[in-house]
Amino acid sequence: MRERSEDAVDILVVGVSDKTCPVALREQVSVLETELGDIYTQLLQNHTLFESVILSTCNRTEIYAIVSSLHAGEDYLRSWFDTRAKKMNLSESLYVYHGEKAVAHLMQVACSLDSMVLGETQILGQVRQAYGTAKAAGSVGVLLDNLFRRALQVGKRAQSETTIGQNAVSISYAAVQLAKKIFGNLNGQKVLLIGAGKNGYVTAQTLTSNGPVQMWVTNRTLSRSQTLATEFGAQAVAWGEFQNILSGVDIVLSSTAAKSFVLSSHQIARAMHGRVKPMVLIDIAVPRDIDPGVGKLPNTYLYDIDDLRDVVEANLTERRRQTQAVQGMINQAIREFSDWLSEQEVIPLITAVREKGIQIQASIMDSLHHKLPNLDERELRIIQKHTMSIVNQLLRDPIQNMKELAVASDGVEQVKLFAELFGISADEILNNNRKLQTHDESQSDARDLGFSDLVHQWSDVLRRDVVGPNLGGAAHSIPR
Amino acid sequence: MFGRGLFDIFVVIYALSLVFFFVDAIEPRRRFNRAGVLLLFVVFCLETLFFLYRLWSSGTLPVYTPFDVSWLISWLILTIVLVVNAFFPIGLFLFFANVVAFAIVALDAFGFQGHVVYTARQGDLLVLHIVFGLASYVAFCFSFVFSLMYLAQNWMLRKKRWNHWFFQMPPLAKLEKYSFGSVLVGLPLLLISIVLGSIWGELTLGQFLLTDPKLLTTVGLWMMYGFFLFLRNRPGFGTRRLVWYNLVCFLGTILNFLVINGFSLVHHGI
Repeated sequence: MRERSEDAVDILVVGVSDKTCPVALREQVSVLETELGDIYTQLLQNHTLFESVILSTCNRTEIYAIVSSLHAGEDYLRSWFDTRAKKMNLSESLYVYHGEKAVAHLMQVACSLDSMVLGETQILGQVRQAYGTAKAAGSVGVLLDNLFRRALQVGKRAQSETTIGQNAVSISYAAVQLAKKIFGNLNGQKVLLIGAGKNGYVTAQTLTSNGPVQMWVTNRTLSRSQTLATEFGAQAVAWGEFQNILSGVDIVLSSTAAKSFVLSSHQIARAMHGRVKPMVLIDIAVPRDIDPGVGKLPNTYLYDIDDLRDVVEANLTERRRQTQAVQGMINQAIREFSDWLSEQEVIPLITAVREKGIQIQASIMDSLHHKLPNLDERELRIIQKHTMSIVNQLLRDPIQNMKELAVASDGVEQVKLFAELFGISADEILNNNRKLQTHDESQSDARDLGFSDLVHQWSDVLRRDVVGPNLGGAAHSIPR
Repeated sequence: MFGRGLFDIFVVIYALSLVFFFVDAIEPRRRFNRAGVLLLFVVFCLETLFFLYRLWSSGTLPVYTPFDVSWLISWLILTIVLVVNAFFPIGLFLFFANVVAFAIVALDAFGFQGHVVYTARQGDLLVLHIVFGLASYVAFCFSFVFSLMYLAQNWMLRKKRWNHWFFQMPPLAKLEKYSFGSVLVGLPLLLISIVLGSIWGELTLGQFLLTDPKLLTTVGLWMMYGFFLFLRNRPGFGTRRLVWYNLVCFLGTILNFLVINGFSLVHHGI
């Protein structure tokens, strides 16, 4: 992506995240959903900001904006954050990126590379929601629309083509992951929850949310078993009787406060006798509830709290390894966005070339009109159509090639050469650019038109050049 | 000469692709995996070309020599693996299955001393007998591959080795199911092959070759795999022991193909 001058239109992001400031500061600047409407109205009234999207989650509050001037845009957004932070000092915590860095940042956020828990999937939905809300508020134009669509695409691709978001990063999910690695899925598995410890409770919740399991709950206090059983849709079993159902259970989840083993090797060996299916025993208690010797029995898989922690650590390592692949996807998406942007940038030159062609055609028509005054209306129309066709056909290939050359590494030089070949001066390009930016200024305010509308106009010119004058239409203003 | 050269080239490329898969399996790198898949596809194209060459040069379906049967098994494994990988990717299946397929072609490359010309009367029945036998061997190869993967995954789960292979490989229940399914496919195919071979013997030689060692051991092999299905539903036998038994059955398959052929009246050893 080419560097722009500080007074040119640019993409800017200003924000805070869990990496730059504590929660006490983040909660000051975070934006509630109910506030968004008013804030977008306020942002739309600012002449520096053409487009904006606010992304506010538990871990970050960021504003993405298309600004007419980097300095002015940054100053405005900094003061916006300062106002929200009230008396708290935000200057050290705010990060500001523009141009390619801003684009890369959004894509990293969407791919969850910048999240507190690497690879978590929630952020993609939050980015989608932020984009949707901004669009509904009329704050998204062509540039941010294109950028956010690409960011959402690459985020979705990262989740579907890599395993960055698939491996568990909590103890309870690690227990589920291990059970799934043995049984394939948890549908119909028989689970025995021993004890009512907090870890066991959370893991049981995770287990039940991963498939319809059949569950028994046992605790030294029967009333507590019954409460838990009601909550999980399970059956309560008296403490002294749970050994009787062990042989029919696939997953044992133990989390008691007992000082000695609750399950011995002998008990499990007896339960395993005559079983075909394996048994998974998850011991989340400290001190441990299950005799470690159980792990040596055939067809049994015993995991304690340390094993689960190791699984979480291994999963995080695996997620970190996947970041390389995700970064590759992000780089590709940035290149594609940059190419698209370069195409948009060359359009003022294309417009100038086209206008020159139209002027030449018009002067020839004038000349013909003077030299052949007897031509009737129909004949003039036919000549007009054919001369215009000559101009269009002559320009079609050069314009197409120009769009391709603009995205090349030495695009700027190529654009200059192209302008020289067609005798287009820098002033003419500037005039065209200005003309587009102040189009119909007499009838509407420049802010009302907006940068997004300008790109719309450029797109129209582009379409007209590719499709032809009859289908493309003229570069008229596009109502908001 | 052209055929031999082509064969040697695809064996070398096959080895190279496995090196890429091996590196990817130990230290995962996306580009190594892609290079491995690309080379594997090249191997598939060359093997297909080799198949067409053999078809053209022999004027018949090239299934009458142990050499041809061996590389055809490898070609079939490769084809199935590529299709499965394209539509239903199973972690590390590509690597494990191709190690087996490569071992078969490598054995072919070194064991191949020249063509064994089959002189007895040939025909559709014989071709069908060989093709069904070949297909059943391919199914048993897959069963063997899934059993190996089961043992590897089981070892990691019991020894608590949470490495890349652990994440990549499917759950134990699925691996066992795939292994069982492969035997379930292979068993009827082998039975059809035995029946067709016996009928061919009766039609060609005028008698059922009931005392031929190959027929006896193949029936024995079929019964071993049949017993595998019986054991699977027997409580208390244990999946791990069943998987080990499956490996023993596959060892029987290899012996039946490589060794017993040499003692047969109508089959040829390598």
